[in-house]
Amino acid sequence: MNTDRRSLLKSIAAVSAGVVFPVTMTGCRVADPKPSDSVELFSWVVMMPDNTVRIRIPQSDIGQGVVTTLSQVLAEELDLKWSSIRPEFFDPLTNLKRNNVYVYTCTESSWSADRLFNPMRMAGAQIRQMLLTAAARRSGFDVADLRTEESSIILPGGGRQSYAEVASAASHIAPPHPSRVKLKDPADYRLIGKPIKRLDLVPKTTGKLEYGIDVDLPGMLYAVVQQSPVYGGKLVSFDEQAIAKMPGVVGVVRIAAGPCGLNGPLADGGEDYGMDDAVAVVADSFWRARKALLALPIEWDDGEFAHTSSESIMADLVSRAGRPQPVVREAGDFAGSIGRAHRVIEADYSYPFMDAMPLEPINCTAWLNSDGLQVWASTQFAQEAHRLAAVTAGLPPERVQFNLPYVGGGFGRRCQNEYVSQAVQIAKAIPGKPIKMIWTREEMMARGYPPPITISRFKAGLDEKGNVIAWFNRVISGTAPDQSYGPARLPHYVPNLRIEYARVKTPQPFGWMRGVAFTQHVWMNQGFQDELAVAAGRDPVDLYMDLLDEGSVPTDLKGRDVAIRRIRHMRAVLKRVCQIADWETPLSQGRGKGVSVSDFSYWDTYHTGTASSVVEVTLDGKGGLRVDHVYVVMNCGRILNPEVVRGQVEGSIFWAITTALYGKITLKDGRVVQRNFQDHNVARLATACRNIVVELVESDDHPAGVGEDAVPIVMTAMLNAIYDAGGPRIRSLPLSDHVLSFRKQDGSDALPGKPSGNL
Amino acid sequence: MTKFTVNDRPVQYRMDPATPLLWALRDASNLTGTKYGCGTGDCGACTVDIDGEAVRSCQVTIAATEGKFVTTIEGLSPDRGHPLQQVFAADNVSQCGYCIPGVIMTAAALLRRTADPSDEEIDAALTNICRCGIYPRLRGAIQRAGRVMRGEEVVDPVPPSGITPDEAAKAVPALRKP
Repeated sequence: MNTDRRSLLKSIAAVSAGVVFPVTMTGCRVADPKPSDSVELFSWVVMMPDNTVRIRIPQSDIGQGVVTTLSQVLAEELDLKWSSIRPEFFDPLTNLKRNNVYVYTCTESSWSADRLFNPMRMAGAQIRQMLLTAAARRSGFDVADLRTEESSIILPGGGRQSYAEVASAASHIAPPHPSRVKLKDPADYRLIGKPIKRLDLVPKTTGKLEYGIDVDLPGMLYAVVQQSPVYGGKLVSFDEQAIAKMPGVVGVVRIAAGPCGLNGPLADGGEDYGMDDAVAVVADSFWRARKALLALPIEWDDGEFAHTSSESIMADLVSRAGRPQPVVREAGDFAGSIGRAHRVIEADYSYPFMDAMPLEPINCTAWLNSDGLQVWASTQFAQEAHRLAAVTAGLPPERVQFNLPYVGGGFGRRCQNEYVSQAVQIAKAIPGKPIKMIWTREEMMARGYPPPITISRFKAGLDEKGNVIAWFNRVISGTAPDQSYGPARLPHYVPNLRIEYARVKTPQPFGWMRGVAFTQHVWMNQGFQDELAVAAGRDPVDLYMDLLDEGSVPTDLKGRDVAIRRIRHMRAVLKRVCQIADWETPLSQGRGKGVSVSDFSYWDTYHTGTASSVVEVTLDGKGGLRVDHVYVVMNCGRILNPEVVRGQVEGSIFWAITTALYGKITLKDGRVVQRNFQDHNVARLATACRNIVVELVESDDHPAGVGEDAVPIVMTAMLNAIYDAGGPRIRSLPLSDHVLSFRKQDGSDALPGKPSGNL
Repeated sequence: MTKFTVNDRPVQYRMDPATPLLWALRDASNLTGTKYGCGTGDCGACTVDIDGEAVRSCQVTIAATEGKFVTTIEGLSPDRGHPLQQVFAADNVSQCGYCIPGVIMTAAALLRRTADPSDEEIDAALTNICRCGIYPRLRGAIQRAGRVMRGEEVVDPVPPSGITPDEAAKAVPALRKP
């Protein structure tokens, strides 16, 4: 291995020179006193002889900055000198052997701050206590007379002992029970909440940071794969002889279909998701492997989805939308109240398949030899990748080492680990050689894990004053976990309400794309609410505020306190964003603004941020659209690092813009039509909105996720702004399928024609 | 047919002359800072400097590179002291970082042509794809790097993990305050 490329995050094996704290004690998550939920808290840090400290990061860094923010959390309580910190990614095998010592290791749901804030503070505080006790024994002073500062223990009289000096002794001391550990007063924080520079900024500018795709091992071979181009298809045969003489070709490997693990600890019903048969060509370089794969004759049996298309799926969803579906939330008497309504408004919204398309193509390196199996992969779910690698190799987990490199973008795509299964299958076929398997971009597009195609049918009744007295929503989506929270967890308590939700099987497996079901349903719900506001001649903010009414929450509601807190938080950020965006000042002809507010409350105990957005757009009347201003106000609880949070909100804004403008994967004859970025544009610098205002609310609440909360609200505000600017009502995506010319006088949507690009 | 200069070193690749430069750099030279993103020239992650121009290395063969001077992100500066490298760190530009080598190599070629590019010139040159959404910081960072190049501004040194700003400035002369 080329060791000098690994300067930032050394492999676990390389740190044996340091003192590893034992794992003999039991700690509790301070937020959860239940013994059954107790987790061990050590194995978190390694003190090095030079007084630098390795902090184990139990998450993947997919660009969201956990290497820095989680280091801040632990270092705060441990009183570490910031420049002495050297983070490294956790080892799934250690975590397995030590009974989930790292608490939460799947990098999804924007959960790193929420799930790890308490455990990592507690771990830091406990280790600090152990170091203090060791220093007291060594110096003869009382622990109470000692204090810590910048990775050192300060003795009475000013003498200092470095953490490294007492680390060995401390490792033999029983860690204090969490109930006897006092955490810092947040007023004393010097790291948490500060705009500390990310720890990996420098190697990211020099090309030295190692992602999975950069793994380089002696004698390494390269593999390129093709999975069945039709979802659910089977491999019939391939003609290996046709490419056997191509230069550099080592062999062709048949990769078997099958279950390939979970795509999150909350996967629907705990079922494995599947992958299909695939063929891999192995050669001495990526380029030769790719060339040979293109030349390899392969025969596929296209299977049950051979004739399925986005159109046929949508037709099925529309047909089902005409029939009653299971009710997931009901209040009052919708059927009776809609008959009494002054006005009734109806609309259908739909959402296509999409693809997360992280920039680092899917890859995995696997090396099976007499020592066992070594695997490297940029994944969001390393624990599951480790398990899957062991199962695929037929080895006990102890003989599998999984190495987690940096990740060149996740966005949910890398919650799935089917590529780990593929690479291990190749390594099994060619033992003794490290194999780096890289997917082409075309393979990534062909085999994505989309959010579900969805139709959402709305019907609402307004009274004479324009109040919403009846709300009906029937949602039918393609393959997905139970995402009924999308339509059903509205913060509104309309007196007469009925929400129905059903799913049908569609070809692709489901993926957790950034923003997940809330991107779909916040937009659909608030797009329709914007229609209601227009129909009633009301300001949408006025309508939202009416719907966000504490008084409307039923007194006997389970989780009533949560419902009221949600409403209060939403009202606060909505009010604030209207102030900073100067909401009430109208814009000139051809310009428009939209507004949206939401939290990410999937269920009552889900810690969530709350955010509101105003977006201003300009239409040129010829089909061109420009996003002029994006305002976001976000309350995400305690902010670990405002610079990192801002980066996440900025990123979410462009995720929303790409989703709105271009987000669509089309299925035809069971195959994905789009092949590369030429067929699926994404936001670029020239597309980018130049005026972005992000305001973060100061809060002492538990930290909430920030990685995706701004996606739904920005997209919703942007799409509503198009109507406000005189454009069509957008009820389907992407915008590149619409003609964004001005509405006709009678209010009907734009004339049919060819969509044009952005301004 | 496949002799040229990479980061000031003469090299000859014993590879199929039709091999894209990207894969020669990555697989033969282990210069993995040059990234594969799409293979079609759309994303810009593989951008390198060839004779002063930003070129998508997935779109040129090693045969076509014969006799030319190639600079990759690893060769942009001996000590990560290029103004773009300094500013990208100081302004927290990177998120996942995968697009950054290509973005920096593209911007470096632009700044060599004009150290004071307009927004429009930056937009036209920087067609690189970033999925994380670093765009709001990108124009400003490139313009700031231009000011650093013109001597109008100095960037505070950003230490890598494990050393102090002072130590970083000692290691990288460009980070020293005047």
